[in-house]
Amino acid sequence: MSTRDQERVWTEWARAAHEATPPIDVARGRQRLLEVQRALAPRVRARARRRVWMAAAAFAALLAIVRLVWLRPITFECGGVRAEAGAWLATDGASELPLRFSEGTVVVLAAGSRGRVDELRARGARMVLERGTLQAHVTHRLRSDWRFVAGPFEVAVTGTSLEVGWDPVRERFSTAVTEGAVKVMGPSVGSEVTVRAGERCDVDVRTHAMQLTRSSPSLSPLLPPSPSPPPLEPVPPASAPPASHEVPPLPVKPGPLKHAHPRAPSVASSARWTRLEEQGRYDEALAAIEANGVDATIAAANDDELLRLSRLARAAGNVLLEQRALLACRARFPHTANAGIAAFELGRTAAPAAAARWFAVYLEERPDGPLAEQASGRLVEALELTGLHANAVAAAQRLLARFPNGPYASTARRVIGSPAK
Amino acid sequence: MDSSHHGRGAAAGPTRGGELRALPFEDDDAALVDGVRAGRVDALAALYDRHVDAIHGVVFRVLGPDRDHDDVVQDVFVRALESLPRLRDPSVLRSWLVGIAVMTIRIYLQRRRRQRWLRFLPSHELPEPAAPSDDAASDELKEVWSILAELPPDERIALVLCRVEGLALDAAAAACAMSVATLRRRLARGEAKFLARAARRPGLSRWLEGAR
Repeated sequence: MSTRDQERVWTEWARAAHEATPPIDVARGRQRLLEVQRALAPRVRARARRRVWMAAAAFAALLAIVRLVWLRPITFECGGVRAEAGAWLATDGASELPLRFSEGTVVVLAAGSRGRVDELRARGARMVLERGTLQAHVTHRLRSDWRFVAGPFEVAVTGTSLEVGWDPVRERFSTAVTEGAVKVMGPSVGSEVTVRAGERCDVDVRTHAMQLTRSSPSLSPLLPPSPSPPPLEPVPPASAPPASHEVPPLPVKPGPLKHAHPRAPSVASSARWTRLEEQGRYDEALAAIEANGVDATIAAANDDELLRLSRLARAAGNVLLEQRALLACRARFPHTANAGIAAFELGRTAAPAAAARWFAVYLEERPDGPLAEQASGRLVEALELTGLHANAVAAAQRLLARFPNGPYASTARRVIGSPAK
Repeated sequence: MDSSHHGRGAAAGPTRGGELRALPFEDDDAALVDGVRAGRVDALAALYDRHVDAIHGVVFRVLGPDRDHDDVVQDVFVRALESLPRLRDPSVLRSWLVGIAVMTIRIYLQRRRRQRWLRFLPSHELPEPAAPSDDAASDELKEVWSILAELPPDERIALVLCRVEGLALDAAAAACAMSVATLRRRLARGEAKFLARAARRPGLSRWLEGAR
């Protein structure tokens, strides 16, 4: 059949169909429709309300998911154990401490360094390096926000590998970047300076000298390496720890201070190293101590000099020497203000269990001392890190009673509010 | 077709305190749609009055005389009333209503075919459901509806929209919610089947002989 013939069939069909279409009862149909409209009206309103509520609920759920998943702060592990923000981290002169963050970043605290993860954020963290060196490989993500604070300097990172060093005694800052770029903010660098891959930035705060140089592909240690001391054993305080602070006994029974090579005190040599230290010639001061003999120097030093020696040792990353000086101060000058300070400093250098004991000692000896608030806060942190939650809660309650608005109040409230592990 | 004697432009329905009359909405479908969305009874009445003939025509020419014809037309307007808040462009109200009519007809035909299938009977052995009198229809038209009953719903609809209603391919495709290519294939299949069956129907010999 041709197209024309087919067209004729369609035309005939259309004409016949239109002619045969009967009229419709419009009035009846309209009436039925209006009845439907009346019946639908409440349902339509209810559906609109339901839609609004569902949209609001969906939006709230979305916000909750965003908060949970997107804005949730990252976490980190230290030695395979999940750690909390604010905890102090320290390494002895022989070992380093890797910190693994949940978004992939790895920070390694080098031997003889101290620092703390100050704040955990959704897209990064703020880490304070009190002294020593850290190496970081920051995982690059959209809007990563990593900050490393070293003394008066702050290094902003979005994704890179770098090393940061800070010597608080020499007041020297260094950072070297192997991947990406960082921004350094602080004194002597203008408003900020950008350090790119392969570059290294050294700042001497005292001389206000800043040097930006090309560094070797592999990072060299930014600060002088610390000596490797033998394993550190905590040493007991001069007086027994008070029961009132409910600090458990130390896991290791400490022994008395040992003098391996007792020598006669040399007043001249003592004067020499202290003079060098006063002049800021720390390397020479340490060399003088080594030359004179550590034991002899400790034996000849008074309580002030022992504290100065401990600070010098800390700056050099020599934890063993630092602890020996502090312990000597407590053993030889008990019941003095410096013995209390030595207890506090020993707490700062020790592992959590021993640290808790030392902070308790300080509080017992110097309940109204200038470091009482810090000791209270650190005692709470140390007890919580040790896993002694009930003791930590009790210490936190005491802290809040004395220092309800202090810098450790939030930590204390968090410990009180957290369940026992 | 003139249906004014059936109430065109008359009361939209009795209400408290008097009789509601549809206000003139001129030719602006957008104003009608706005009025219906605002819950105005007179706007819905005017919308129905303006478009019911076209929808009724499409339904009749696809289904033929059918006992459910009025319900299908009613169903088209109820679906339209429910879906009106989602109509983006009120100026295409007529083609939008035709699209709803096509969807409603398709659902109706598929449901009827399913009912037949469930009875394990071939469709051609069953007459169309008891229909209103088709005395007014010509013999040829009765044969046409008989052939249409044997076609799949999509081919039947495509055939009527393009060959009887005179819609262009793109307009018919839009009404059927399918691509032009798909509609063209279904139309071709529908035409071929229709003409083949028509050739075996003596009642259509006048159209076919005229064609020859």
